[in-house]
Amino acid sequence: MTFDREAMLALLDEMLASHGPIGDEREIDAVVLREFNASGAHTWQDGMGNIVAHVPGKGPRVMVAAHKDELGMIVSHMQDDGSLRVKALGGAFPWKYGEGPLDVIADDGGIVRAVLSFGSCHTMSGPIGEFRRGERTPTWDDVTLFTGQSADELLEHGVHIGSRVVMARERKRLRRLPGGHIVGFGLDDRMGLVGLVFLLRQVMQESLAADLYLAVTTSEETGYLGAKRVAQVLRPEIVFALDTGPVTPDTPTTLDARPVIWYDEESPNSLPDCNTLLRLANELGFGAQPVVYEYAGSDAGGVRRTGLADRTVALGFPRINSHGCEIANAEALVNATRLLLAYLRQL
Amino acid sequence: MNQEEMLELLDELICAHGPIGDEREVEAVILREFEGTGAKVWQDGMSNITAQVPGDGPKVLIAAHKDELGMIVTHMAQDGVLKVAPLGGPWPWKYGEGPLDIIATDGMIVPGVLSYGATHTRSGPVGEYRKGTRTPAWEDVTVFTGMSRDELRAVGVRIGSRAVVARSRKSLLRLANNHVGGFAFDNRVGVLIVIDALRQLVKDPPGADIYISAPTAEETGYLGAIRVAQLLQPEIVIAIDTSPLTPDTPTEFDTRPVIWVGEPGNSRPDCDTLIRLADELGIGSQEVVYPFAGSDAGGIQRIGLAARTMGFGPAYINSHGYEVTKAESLGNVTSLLLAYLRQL
Repeated sequence: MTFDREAMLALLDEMLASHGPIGDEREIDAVVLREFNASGAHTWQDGMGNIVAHVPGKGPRVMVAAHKDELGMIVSHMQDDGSLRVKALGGAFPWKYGEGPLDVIADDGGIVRAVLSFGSCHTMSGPIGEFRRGERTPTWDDVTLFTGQSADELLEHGVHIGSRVVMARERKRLRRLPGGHIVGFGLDDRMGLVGLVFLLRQVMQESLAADLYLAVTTSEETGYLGAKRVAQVLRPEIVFALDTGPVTPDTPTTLDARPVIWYDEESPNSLPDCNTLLRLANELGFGAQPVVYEYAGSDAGGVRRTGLADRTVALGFPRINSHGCEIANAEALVNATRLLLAYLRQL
Repeated sequence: MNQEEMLELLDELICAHGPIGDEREVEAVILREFEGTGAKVWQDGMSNITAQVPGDGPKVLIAAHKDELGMIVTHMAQDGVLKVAPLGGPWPWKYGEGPLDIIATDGMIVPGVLSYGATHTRSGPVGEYRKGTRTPAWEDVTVFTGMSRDELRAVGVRIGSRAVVARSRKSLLRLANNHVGGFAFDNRVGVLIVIDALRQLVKDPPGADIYISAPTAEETGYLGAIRVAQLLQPEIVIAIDTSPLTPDTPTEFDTRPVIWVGEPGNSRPDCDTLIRLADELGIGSQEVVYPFAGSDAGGIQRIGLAARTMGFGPAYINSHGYEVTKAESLGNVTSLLLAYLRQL
């Protein structure tokens, strides 16, 4: 088996536990760099934080992107008593997180614990009263982060306005459910990163025609900024995004082991390439789910909108509960990576 | 108990499941701790656990409820996706998405995931949340199990099974400056305090005829404590319960016990005694009138089952969610309870 499921899940667990809220991706960077360098591929990190591995070839220049940023928060206010307020980075919602521990990342990379707090339910006043009456949705403006420390103590630890915050590590670890299901916060897009690492190990043993750049990008969740930058620098002909594919009520997607082919998203992806993927998935025997997303986007669609590639294509792992406690089928990770490899081989 | 011993036992108590009506796990811990003191201990037919420290003085019932907030399975779809209803006052936006433990008939745990569905949509409840016009409600939530309905039934999950926040989310969190956090401090903190008090009362009985009880079903109308009071006919009832910081009270977040002076019917002279004793002990206290909180003491008073009632407990934030308190406040409540009992 080219792509061993258990080995992929072991790396996924490590990557899920490695913090990478948009703009403070040091922990996940270390894991990606270790894996890319270990493959023997020429690997570099650009000034924006994107990590790229190059597997040279004489064929078309292909950039395969999976993003390393995860949803998180940024500290926007610090009260004297050390309670913090935050804004979302990317599409994080407090009702998805619930109350509980968060990790605030200090300047030196150390973790300061905080508790996402809505306040006591034993009231009918203020925001809680509105929630109890069902009048509106909790927002980040209703949330405080309790730290137990004063503002001075926090500043001394290197926590300040602008510090990044993310779900506590112990809530992010990979969980398994029956039926081959995997559960975690940040499957989007740690699953893509795992796929890229295992793909890289494999293509290093092959002689693909494509001039291949595997890009682990930043800031996908805030407008595909990392992938756009990489594409500006590399000038690829084809951009391929490996990302999760949300199961939504307005698409016919289902949670199973079939990869999701993003025919349309931010902008329509290349129809011939999407069709090639669909055909290859059938030839490989596991099939695929074509999907048209009205409210989801990937690095591929984002790059296409800036005119930075001739052809774009996106492939994903179906998962429910997007941007929350996500659940996917472990076999979809194997299948999508196999499909991506098959696509690259036929170029 | 010193503070570290208290926190270790609190960790065990909050990790032991006890959603209303399926309190087997926490009962095992309470029975072990109550019996470990050497007191006479029994569990009544409703599941309330009581220990007695006999004396010739007035009959006193001290209640710290053992039930915690949870959910009950209401629907099982063929694909094994569950719907749940709240037991007590939990809210799905307090929990967020994430692992739940479903308790099977034999007490084993079947894992599930509280799910709202994808945010990449403008349809359905999530679409309304994104517009900001709807508060996430239990009817919007499904519980994903990865098992079929038949498989769930085979392992003992059915309509009526209880569910609770997963144990993996319930371990005690240590925060800076001696703060601790976790789910179900309400009222495992109270259970911890009465265990601490019981150990000391057994060693040095104060004279009152004391019954320390861990009743069930506080969160659904004080039902357990009412039953215990019916059986025991106490003169005095003291509820030891967590005391929320709310915007409509002047409660402050510190280590002083909070005395519920405003729960209808609580005994004014006894509240005054508590306030005086707290000052004499040097720990101080806070008086509070809660418009939207109740305790076993008030529940019993309302049906005439005690001459005098009172309630107090440690201050905490985020009630009915991820609760945070100051570790030092726990021992202060024990000290105040013991001082009160010794002056009767």
